[in-house]
Amino acid sequence: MAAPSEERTGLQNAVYCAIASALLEYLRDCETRGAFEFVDLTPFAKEYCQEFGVGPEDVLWVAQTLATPTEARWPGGSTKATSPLKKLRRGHSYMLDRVGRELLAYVAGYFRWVHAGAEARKLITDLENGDMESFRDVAQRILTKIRSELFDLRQLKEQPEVTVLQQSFIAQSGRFIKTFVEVSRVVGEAQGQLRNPTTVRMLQGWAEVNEVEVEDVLGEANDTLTRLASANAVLHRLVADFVAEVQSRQRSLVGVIGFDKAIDRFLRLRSAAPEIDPGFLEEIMDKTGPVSFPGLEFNPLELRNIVAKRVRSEPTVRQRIRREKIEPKLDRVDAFVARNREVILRMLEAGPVSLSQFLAADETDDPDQALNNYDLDLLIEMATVFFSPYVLRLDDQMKTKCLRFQVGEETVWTLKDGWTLRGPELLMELAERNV
Amino acid sequence: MDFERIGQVQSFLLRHRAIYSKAPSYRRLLDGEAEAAEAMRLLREEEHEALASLLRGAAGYDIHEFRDDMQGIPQGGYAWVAVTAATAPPTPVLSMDKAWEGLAIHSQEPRAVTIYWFTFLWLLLLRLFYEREGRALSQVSQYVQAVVVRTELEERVTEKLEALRQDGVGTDDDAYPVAAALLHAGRDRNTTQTDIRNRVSRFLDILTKARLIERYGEDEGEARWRQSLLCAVQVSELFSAGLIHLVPLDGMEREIASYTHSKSVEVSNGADE
Repeated sequence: MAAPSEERTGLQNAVYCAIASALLEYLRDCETRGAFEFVDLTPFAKEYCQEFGVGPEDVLWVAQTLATPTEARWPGGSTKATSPLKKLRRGHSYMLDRVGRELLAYVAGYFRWVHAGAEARKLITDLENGDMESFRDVAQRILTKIRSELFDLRQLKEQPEVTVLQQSFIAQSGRFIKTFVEVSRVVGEAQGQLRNPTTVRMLQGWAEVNEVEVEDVLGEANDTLTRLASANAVLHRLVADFVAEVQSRQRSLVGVIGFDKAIDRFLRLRSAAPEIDPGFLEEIMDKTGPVSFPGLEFNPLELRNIVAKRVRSEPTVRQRIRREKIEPKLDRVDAFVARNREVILRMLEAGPVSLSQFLAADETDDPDQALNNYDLDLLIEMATVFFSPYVLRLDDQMKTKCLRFQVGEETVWTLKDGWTLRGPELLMELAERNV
Repeated sequence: MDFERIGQVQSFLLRHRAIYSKAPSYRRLLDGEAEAAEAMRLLREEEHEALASLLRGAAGYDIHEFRDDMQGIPQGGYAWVAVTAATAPPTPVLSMDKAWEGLAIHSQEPRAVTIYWFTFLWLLLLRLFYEREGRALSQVSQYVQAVVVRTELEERVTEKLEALRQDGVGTDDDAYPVAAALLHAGRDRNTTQTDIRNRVSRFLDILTKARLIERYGEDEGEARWRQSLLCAVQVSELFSAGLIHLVPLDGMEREIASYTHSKSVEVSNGADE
C-alpha cells in the first residue's frame, strides 16, 4: 500500500494564492480599523478554512510561507526584505510588512502608485462625478498610506546610528514631504469642491439614488476630509521631528546591547567587584525595573480594602433582623426646651418670669429653678423661649392656659460667654385662656 | 485650575503608570481608565504643568504622550505613560520592598539573594526583548514584537545555571557570591527546577503589577507576555543611568568612542575658524 502523499494539495491549484490574497486583505483591514499591531490569525484560519475547503493548518502554513524571507539577487545588489508579512517569534501573530503593503497597492489595480499625493487627486475626480463609494475607498486607501508612512517614519527615526539616520533621511524624506504637501493641497481643494453648486448637484443625484439626504452625504465627505487632514498633520509633525532629529543628533543612541555577555559577567562577579553590592543593584533596578507599586498602599480609593477588610460572617442560624426605633434628632433649642420644660413651667406657675431672671437661671443654686443649658452653643439662645414662645409647645400640655407678654424698660444683658444683648425687658406670664 | 481633574489623573498614573484612551486589541480598559484619559485630554496647559510637577515631586515621574502614530495604539487613540526621570532623586514614597517580598520564595531569604535573582531575571528578559530581536534600545516602537512565554525564560535560566555548575563557579561561596546565591537559593541549599519555575512566575507577576509587561494572548496554552510601551520608553531613557554599569566594557567603549568622536569633530571645526 502506497503511503498517502504528504504534499499539500493546495499547491496544485490556485487555492493557496486565493488564501494568501484574502489573508493580506484581512491584515490590511485590521490595520485600517485598529492599531499597527500583530494580529493573531488563528480565528481567521478557523473561519476561512471552510470557505476554501482546507484545514486551518493550511491557512497558517500559507501565512508562515508569506512571512519567510527569500533572498532576491540582481546585478549589483540583493535584498532579503521580500516577505510580505512579519511574524512574531511565538504563536501565529502576523502583521503586514512594507512589501505586503506595496503588494496590496499593486493588486488593487494601482500599478502607478507613486505616492499618496497622486492618489489624492482621485478624491476630487470622485467628488466631481458624484461617486461617493469610490470617494470612500480612495480616502480609506490614502489614510492607510499615510498611516503606514507614519509607521515607516517612526522606525527610521528610532535608528540608533547617526550615519544611518542621515542616509535614510536623504533617501526617504522626499516621499514623506511630498505626501503631506500634496495631500494637504488636495484636501483644501476637495473641501472647496463641496461648496461648488455643480458638485453638490452631482452628489444630490447620488443621494437620491441611494435614498439619503444630501446634507448627510456632504457632512460625511467633510468628516472624511477632516480625518485625512488630521492624519496628514500628524505626518507633518513627525516629519518635522525627523528633520530636527537629523540635525540635532550629535551621537548615536543606545544600540543593540549584549545582554547575554552582561549576564555571564554578572553571574561570575567576584566578591571584590563593586557591582555585587545589593544596595547598588537595588538602585539600578529601582530606576529601570519596577519602581514599586505605590498605589497599592497609598491610593485612597483602595484604602478601604486595607483599613477595613470585610469579614465574612460565620455560617450560623439566620439572624433575625433587628428593627431599631429611630428617634428624630432634635434641634438644639428644641432639645434645651425638652430638657427644661418642667423647670420652665414651674417658674411660670410661680409667677411672671422676666427675661433677666430667665437668663440668670442657670446660675441659681435652687435645683427647682436651675436651667440645664449644656447642649446650647451660646447662652443667648436661651432667649429664644421669649422671642418665639411656640417652642414651649404649651398647647400640647395645657389646653386652657396661654402666655401673656409684657414689655418693660430698656435693659442691657451681659452674658457669661461674652455676648451682650440690648433691648426692652420682657415679662412672660401664664394666664387663663379666654375662650 | 481644576484640581479634582488633575488629582484624578495623578492618582491613576501613580497607581497604574499608563493611561490608554482606547483599549488595545488584547486587553480591556481598566476601571476608571477611560475617565482618566478624558480628564487628561481636557487638561489645559497650566493644568498640565501642575500635573507634571506634582508627579515629578511625588514620585519622580515624567509624562510622555503618544498618539496613534505609535505602534500598538488604536486609531484615534492616545496613551500617556509615567516614566521615571533619569535625574530624579530617589523618593521615600517608592521602594522596591514589594518587589523583593514578591520574589523571595521563603520569608527568611536574605535580601541580597533576592536582589541577585531579580537582576539576573531582568537581564535575561531584556536579552529576550532586545538582543534576540536585534533591536536597539532606542527602537521603542518595536515593543510590539517583544514577546516571551514563561517556558522560554525558564529554559534560559536553567541553561545559565547549568553552565555555572559545569564551570564549578558556584562551589566556593565566598569567591563568587552571585553564582553561589543563585545556585544555592533553594531549601536544601540547591536550586531545583521547581524553584526556578516558582521564581520566574513570581517575577512575571511582579512585572505585570508594575505594568512593565502585559498579558498578550496565549501560545499553546501558555500565556504570552509582551513588553509594555512604558517599559520600552523607560529602558530607552534610563539605560545610561543605571544598567550601563552591568554591561561589559566593550559595549561601553563603543559608546564612549561615538561620543568622543563627535566631540573631537566639534573641536577641530572650532579650531579651523
